[in-house]
Amino acid sequence: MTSRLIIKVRMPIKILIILLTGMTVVTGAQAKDNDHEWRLTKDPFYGDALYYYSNQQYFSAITRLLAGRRMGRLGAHKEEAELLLGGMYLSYGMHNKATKTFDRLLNKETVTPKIRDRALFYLGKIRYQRGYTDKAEVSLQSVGKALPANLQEEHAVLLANILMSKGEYKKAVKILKNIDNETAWSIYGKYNMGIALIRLGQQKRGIALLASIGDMKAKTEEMRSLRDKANTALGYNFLKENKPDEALSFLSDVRLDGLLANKALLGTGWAYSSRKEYKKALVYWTELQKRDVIDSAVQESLLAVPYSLASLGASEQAKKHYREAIAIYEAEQQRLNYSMQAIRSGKLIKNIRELDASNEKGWFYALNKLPKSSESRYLVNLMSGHAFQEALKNYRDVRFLQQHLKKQEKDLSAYNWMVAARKEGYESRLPYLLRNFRKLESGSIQNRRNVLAKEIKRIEKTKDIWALVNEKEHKLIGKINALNNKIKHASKADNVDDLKNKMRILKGALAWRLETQYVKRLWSAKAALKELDKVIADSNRAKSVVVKAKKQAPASFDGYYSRLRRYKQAIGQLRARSSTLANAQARYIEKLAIRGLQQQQQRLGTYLTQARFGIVQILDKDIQAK
Amino acid sequence: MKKFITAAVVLVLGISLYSFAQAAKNSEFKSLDSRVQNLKHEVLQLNQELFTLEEELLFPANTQVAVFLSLDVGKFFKLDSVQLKIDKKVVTNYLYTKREIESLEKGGVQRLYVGNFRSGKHELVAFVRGKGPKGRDYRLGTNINFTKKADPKYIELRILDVQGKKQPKFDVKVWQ
Repeated sequence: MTSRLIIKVRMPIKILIILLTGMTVVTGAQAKDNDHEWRLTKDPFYGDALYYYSNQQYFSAITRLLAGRRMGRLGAHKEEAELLLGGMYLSYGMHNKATKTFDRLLNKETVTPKIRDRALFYLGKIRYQRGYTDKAEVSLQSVGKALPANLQEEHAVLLANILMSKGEYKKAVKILKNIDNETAWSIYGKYNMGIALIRLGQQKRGIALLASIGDMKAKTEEMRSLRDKANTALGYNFLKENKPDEALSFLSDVRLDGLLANKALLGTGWAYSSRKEYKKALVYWTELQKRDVIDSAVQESLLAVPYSLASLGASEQAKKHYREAIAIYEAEQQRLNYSMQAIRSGKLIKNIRELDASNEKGWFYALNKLPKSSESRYLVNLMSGHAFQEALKNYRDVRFLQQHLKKQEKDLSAYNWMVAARKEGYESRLPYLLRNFRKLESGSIQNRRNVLAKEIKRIEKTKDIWALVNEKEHKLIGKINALNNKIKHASKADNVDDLKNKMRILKGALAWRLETQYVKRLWSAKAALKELDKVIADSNRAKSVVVKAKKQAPASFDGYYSRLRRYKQAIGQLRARSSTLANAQARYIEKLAIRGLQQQQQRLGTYLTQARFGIVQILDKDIQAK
Repeated sequence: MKKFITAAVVLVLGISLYSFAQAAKNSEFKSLDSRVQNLKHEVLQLNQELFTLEEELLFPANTQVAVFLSLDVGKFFKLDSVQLKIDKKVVTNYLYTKREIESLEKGGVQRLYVGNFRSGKHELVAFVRGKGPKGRDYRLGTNINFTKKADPKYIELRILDVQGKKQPKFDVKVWQ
């Protein structure tokens, strides 16, 4: 084994689960769900849903897409939106709705090959995940050439998995051969193909493939873990073939801080043991014994050490270690009993319930925060069961829905308040508006407008330049007229000829200005009339809106109140249902957890028997020797 | 010893491709899962109705102005934050997380702001900050005058890479 430092790493739970369960392909596929061709967003509301989906906020994303569809906002993306909706349902664990959505899409005659192939792909994927392999194969085999490149590899891996499950390894190998060498999918594909070939009896080819994974330069934790998995698999394969040297060469490449380190240490010990190098085997198994006894490899090492010691002839030490192993197994069994009791009394669920359920984003992350109590000690091990994972996921989702419905119930009172405030505002403003509109109705504004229009027509017809003077000019004319009046009544002695002449020139200059600006002034007068017409039209429109509102508003407010009452009732019913369902789901989780722990207890029981048998064997040998 | 190894080989090599499928076939799991799916469906139906109602009440069409932000960048700009002003008043400041930027880069469009405005003319000013070409601090700004009428107004701010100039740019699209 490489001499890397042993450090305790808090591995992301997702990777941990992938490794524990060997569900690399399926989980990896889920990670790829988001890789739609998204860059061509043509509508902001479609993009808005996409934004939440990509952020793994599936509940919000689906809500927005459904609301967008309801409000007719998805425009250019109708079919793509349906496809996205199906993908969202799939990611949110709503397989039934996802299947219906994809089916509906496939039944449309207008569906494009690109959409069709993607729908078929996702439909195949759901069917595969639900265990309907035949139907899944039909869907996946029907996918044409329009499937986007980023989904082609996942498609090949899924199809190959189905074929392998049917024992059609040759066909699977043929499909996987076409996968590109560089991507994560190709590595998953290679891994599966390696396993398939070994099962097919083509050891050499299978081993070569797995060895290439075991030797790869891995950039991510997921890939490093897969590399460890390939090396461990190869190591144990060679152990099975009784080829310890080859086994050692692979097991030594497994990281000491990885999740498979314990299994690799155990295997390394067995490899040395089969070479009769018991002392070397003891080095690895002793190291393994220091680790957490919850791990099956550690538990097995407790038997392996005395087995090795006995093989070395150290009977007394072997007996001592067997006894220690018995004590540890019994203690562990006792702990399992406590854990089962704690789970039965609801402590596991209580701990899970204390995790923040208001966050709709995933749930894996939160499991790291569980208190280290006896009932949650085995949780990571239990997570290796898909049923347990799915049950826990459903429980988390129901808890989120419970929180959400509780919040919605509170929001309803705010909506009621908003409707009431709107109604009050409407009722207080309505009389004022109606008063103003009544003024309009009296006709005075319209009459004054008509008089004005008639006057403009007259001015134009008679070319009455004096009717187009402004206020300043109007005052000036008044002054000129007053002066002219005074001049008219002046005596000859006053000598007003000069003044008279000046008034004539002034009036003439004004007439000149009015004459030259006549066209412009007439146009301005007409424009002002048009503006007035627009104001009157706007007022009339506003009036009709108010009149319409006056008629409709009571019904509209009643409509809101009726909707709110309906929502309140629905929320009440859904809250009750979600509560019942959360309890049922909790009991199911407890049942699975206890079942998982019982299996561990059975395993420990077997080890206990073996340890006791080991002591008896040694004692028997001692007696025979004496 | 052989027994141990065989068990371990099964453990290591036995990829349980169908364990989920097996879980799905379990009748208790299936029944509960089906009930969970139905509950999700009904809550989602209700939620979309409440989402619509909330929008009708909080942002009626005749006053609604929504501003969206999208990215079509990668090479020349890494978004960090955005500030939005309407009629010289800051209406939102938003600092992005890595995940949100990834969502935008994948084609997601963020509804950055929704507010109510009277009919008439308004001015929108937006500034984005981030890392520009060669990792330098970069600030981009844009403004647009728009007229609010009786229909809701949707404005999308797009940050684009301009290949020729090797720089990012702001583009504004008024949807309606």
